[in-house]
Amino acid sequence: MFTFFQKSKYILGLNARNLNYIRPYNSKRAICIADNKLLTKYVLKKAGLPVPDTYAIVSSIKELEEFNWLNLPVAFTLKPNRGSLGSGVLVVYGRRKKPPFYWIKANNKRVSIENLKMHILNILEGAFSLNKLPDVAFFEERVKLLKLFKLYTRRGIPDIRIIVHNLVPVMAELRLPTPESEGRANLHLGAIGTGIDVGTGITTTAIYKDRLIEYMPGIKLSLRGIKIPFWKDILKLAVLAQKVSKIGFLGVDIAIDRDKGPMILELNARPGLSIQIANLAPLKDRLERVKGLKIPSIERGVKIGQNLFGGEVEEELEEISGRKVIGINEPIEIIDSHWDKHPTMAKIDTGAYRTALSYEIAEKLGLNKPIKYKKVRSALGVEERPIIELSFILDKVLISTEAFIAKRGEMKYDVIVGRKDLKRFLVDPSKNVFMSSKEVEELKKKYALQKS
Amino acid sequence: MDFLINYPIQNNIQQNIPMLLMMIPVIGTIIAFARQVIGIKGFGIYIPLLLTISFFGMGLNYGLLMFITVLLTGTGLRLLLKKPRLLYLPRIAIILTLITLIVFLILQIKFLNKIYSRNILSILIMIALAEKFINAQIERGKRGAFILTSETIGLSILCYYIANFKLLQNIISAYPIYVILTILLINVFLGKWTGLRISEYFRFREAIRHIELPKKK
Repeated sequence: MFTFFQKSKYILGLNARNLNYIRPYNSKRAICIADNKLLTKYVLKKAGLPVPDTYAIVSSIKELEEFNWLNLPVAFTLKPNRGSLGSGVLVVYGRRKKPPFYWIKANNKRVSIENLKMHILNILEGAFSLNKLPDVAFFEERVKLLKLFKLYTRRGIPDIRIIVHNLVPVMAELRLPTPESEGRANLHLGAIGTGIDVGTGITTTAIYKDRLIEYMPGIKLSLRGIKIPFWKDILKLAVLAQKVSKIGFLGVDIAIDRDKGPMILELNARPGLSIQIANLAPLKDRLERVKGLKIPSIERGVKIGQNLFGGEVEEELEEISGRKVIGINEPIEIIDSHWDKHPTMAKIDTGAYRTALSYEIAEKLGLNKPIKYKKVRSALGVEERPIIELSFILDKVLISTEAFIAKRGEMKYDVIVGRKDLKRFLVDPSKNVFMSSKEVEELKKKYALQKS
Repeated sequence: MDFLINYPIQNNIQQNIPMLLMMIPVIGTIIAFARQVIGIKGFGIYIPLLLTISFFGMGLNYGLLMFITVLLTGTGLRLLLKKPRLLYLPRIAIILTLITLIVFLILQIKFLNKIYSRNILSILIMIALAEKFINAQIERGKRGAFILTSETIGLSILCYYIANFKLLQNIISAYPIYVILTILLINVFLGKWTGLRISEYFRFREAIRHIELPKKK
């Protein structure tokens, strides 16, 4: 019980959110932008960020009477400009081909022009707006559903909520609309939320109405392990949205369009806190960790977020499989003839069978004493390559093996680890990918310094 | 010191008026505490406050009876008026009119008339408040409105009991200045309180359970 209260100190509650984060970091001007959806879109669009198109704006009863209903597309969303918590959002996903041309709502109910008019009147009156003041209604492009998400939602578009603070993406959540939520992605309306590993963009745990679930309600479809496409771009967009809007404690809602890719739906200056349940992780702790960091660039912010708040998925995988997850580039320590450790960077190559050591390094470390030769078929025809005995430490695992010496002149890496020596690992091809040799060189130096 | 209480008495004003006045800061503080520390949302400070005050006049039992009657008729009328599509404000005005009619009918009953006619202001407050509760039904749906309404009524009942607590009343009439100072202090503390609300311990229990404490060095 005592540890329960001790642990609870890491959770961000409403009091602390309002007093310690929204007050100091979200200026009145910034909140104004977030609370006004059309203004948000204008600001973001001006900065070159992708947002859904606005088809039409209705700002008065006169405009409503003169509105040309024929110009409306088959699918759209109707939103109040200052609505909050998803109230007053109407999602229409299709239209009957026969007269009187009903539209179809996300819960399969019909929507007629009369219904739309009534709804817009209510919006104009301010029935859904934050402070009950008269509002403006607008029709917006309905984001087209990504194939990947078809299994998980039938109506409505899933979106990704990312909390950004100090230009670092801190926590993320995938929100899947259900028929109950009428196509809207707001959790308290009955949508499903799943936590996302910020490092990899893979979903972890899921909640429905603030309770943990394992499968989609009704079907045995696991909500764990969904890999969100364009993850890095999504994080980058979220950070950019913060930079543009200057909302210091920000919840960004991003949807992925089948054709156009990720786009920002909304900004939120008072993001909800149930994201902590979906991630089973405390927000306060994460926010404290990025507080005061100097973030020189957007990419850096994204990377810091990924490094600090990723890895949960990997740890879990490692636990289940008993094997470590490694990436394409890994630090390695080669053991030389005097049993001294020599740190450098290795490339993990599952396409090669044997590990290869570059000739220069082998010579430098006194390892070039071939124990045998082996004929290999390569692009240059059949050649004979020397094999040496080699020991190295990869991710804290000591491996003794036989390796080729490769005389290939300029090698970007000192070592290429082949699959013969990777049996105790799982390779994640999207982890630690650095293409330029400059980056690799820098890492080599950094790692050598760290070890010495 | 006691001029706040004595001044009005010396000037031949009913004694329960300063007492009632002092109830506003007390009830306000209870509501603030309920929101920030316990996590009872309710409808802000204004509605539970008015509701409690309206209970004062007619006593809790009759007050609740009247308020629940007003709420139920209001809800029923809202459902009836769903069919003919009407704009929000005229619709609410119709509902309030019909509630007033029903209250008028209730007042025709002899023994109820005795109790209620003396507190007609409380009844007016209740009818006016009905709008907020009906609006909550439209906005938050059945479940949300039910929770919010019961929280608000519960909070008002709690406030009613605390405000009717004899010891507290004695303290207030004896040391009104100190009570006001204490109340100010409590509210400054509440305003700076950043800990979890009690309801949040419950809400985030799964997340809390999964937190790994940093190992002690």
